[in-house]
Amino acid sequence: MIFGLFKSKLASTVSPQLGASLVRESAWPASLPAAPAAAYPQVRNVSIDGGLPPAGTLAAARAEHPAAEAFVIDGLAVVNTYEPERRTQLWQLDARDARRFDKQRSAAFDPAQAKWLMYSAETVLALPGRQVLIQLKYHRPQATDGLFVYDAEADRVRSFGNVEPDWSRGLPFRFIDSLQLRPDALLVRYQTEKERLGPQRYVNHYEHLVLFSPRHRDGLELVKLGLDDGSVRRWGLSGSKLWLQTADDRASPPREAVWSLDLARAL
Amino acid sequence: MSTPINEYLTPQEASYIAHNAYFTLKDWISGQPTIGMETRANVRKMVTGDGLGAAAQGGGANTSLKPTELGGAHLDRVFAGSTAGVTTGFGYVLSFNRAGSKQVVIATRGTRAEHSKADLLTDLRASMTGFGDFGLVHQGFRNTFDSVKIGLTRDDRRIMDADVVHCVGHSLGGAVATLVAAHFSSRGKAVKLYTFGCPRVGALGAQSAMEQSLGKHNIFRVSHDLDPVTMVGPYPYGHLNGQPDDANNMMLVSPTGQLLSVANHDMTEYVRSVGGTEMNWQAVRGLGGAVERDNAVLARWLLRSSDNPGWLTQRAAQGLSYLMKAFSHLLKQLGFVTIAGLTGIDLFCVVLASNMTKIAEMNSQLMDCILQAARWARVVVSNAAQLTATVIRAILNAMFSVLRPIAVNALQSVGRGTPLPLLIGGATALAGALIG
Repeated sequence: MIFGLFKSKLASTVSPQLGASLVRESAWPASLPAAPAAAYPQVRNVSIDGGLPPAGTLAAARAEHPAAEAFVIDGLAVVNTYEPERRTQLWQLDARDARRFDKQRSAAFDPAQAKWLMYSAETVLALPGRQVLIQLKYHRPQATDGLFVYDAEADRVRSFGNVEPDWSRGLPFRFIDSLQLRPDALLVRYQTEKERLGPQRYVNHYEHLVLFSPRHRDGLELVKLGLDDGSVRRWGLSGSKLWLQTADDRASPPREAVWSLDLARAL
Repeated sequence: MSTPINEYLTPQEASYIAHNAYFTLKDWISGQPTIGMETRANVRKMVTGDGLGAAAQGGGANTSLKPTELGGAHLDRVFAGSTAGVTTGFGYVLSFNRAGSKQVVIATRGTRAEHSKADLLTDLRASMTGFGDFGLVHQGFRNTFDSVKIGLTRDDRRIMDADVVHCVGHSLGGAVATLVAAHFSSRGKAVKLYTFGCPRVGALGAQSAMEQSLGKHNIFRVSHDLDPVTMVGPYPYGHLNGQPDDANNMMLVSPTGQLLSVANHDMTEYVRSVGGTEMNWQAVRGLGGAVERDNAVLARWLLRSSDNPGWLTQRAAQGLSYLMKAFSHLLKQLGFVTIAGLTGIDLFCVVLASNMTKIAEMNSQLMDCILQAARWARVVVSNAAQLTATVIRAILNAMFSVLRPIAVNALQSVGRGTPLPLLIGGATALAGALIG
């Protein structure tokens, strides 16, 4: 009994709103239906020509080594400038000419961002309801990766905190993954906290599965998956049932498991 | 406006090369490295191919150059190297054309501690040996370079025909890359050197000679301020581009913040520190401005370490760290420019090696500081006349007895033994020998 106190405690937590729990399955399903297409605008990545905003204009595509680039979605641009400073800005596009910038949005990522040495949006993902999920790399001065949701309607940025790369996928670093559950519902997965197993070998302690939909604009964390139940290797949806195949890399060979979770109440 | 393509590798390219050089080690792809050399076909898959071999195994790293501008490069040869008599895959040669010139990459891998202590022995062997006209260098690194040179001989013509040679490495690989770079530079080649978490290679002026040969602007040294391997070996070994005002001395704030940690040495952390969309060297240099270069690295570690070596040692360590800070400050005041970029351990070696006691006799502040250190070390000294090299050595010994448990704790997962005491002991002997 007493030895249990010293055991790893990286347990999973399921949102009580689901009224369901993770169920251990014996095998991954033979087939899963393809994910539906999103019913909301998606992000387009292009260069900015002719100088920085507001003077510059959006190009048709992304050129190599741009001085500035934009992630464009529905009248909004998340802009990375690289010269003379590495900064990320939020711009509203001109309603008459969508290649041109109108005015800069006032929302900030963090009260302390003026002190950051540099920052840039590495991944920008469209969410339902004119929101975007931004994975921002910033140096404070340590290299840090944070996750932010920008609500274009409210001109508001919400922080989801610092995130870790998915260490099970190695390099290049991938911080977020997504699964389209319904045309207007997106499940986002990201990782927090890490443990060093040895030189250049890490595992994530937690994976967060957050649902964004018209009902859950602010994001509902369906599961905080603890490493004791493994890290997600693949996932899929069948009906309202979410399937997860996981592995715990602390064991050799990795300890694998298959889980299901009924999302009916959240969808 | 776009950034012009120049003759240098980008931070992403250099960091990926330093990382994927490990794939030359047999079975590194599967995450279970063994002693031996990986096949060229597998290395090519990981360096310029789809790089999916490792990812498919789970937990692997895809640092293929395919999505970069080096995607079309040609992998020429995988070569072996020997560390402490054990021969393994050690690096590769890659050739490509860029901006109208023929260029070659020579990549060398870093230490792999889990399967063999041979690499560690190389890192820890602190004796010196000559290296051409450059002067004295680390014996272990020189030995490994000699073994690598045999493999490189078969690519000699290709390398000598290139307009530019890029030498890249992490950790031990950075040290060997330094010697490879100096070797080809001495033969008249235009060489660029990129190191990550590199230990100190040259001593007593050799680093300056190598800087002169390569050109300081062609040496890109990236380090984390609390990466313990960059402190190997202590004074009088020194870094290329080791001065705080060297433009390409890109010392970055460590990912662990305040702790001296082996995690700060991981190549993955270096990839993360210099990574990012459109990251260039100018931006990496900009990050270096955030490092506190007041020579208090070890002091910070001792003061804030959570490695918890025990409260008694912690108390002693705190006292010691204050002394180190005081030494650092005083030596700077006295105009000892050579101490810039050195750690607290180095400082006491400097004191020992530079016959500092003579200077102390003329400087009351320094004398007070040394006497304070003597009191802390419980070495009885009643006046300046008694302040001899023997006394300084006794103070050093007392310091090491405090540092050992903390250092071993910090480096345990790398050394699987007692690396730092060996290093420190080696440095003491070295400094003592210099005095003698």
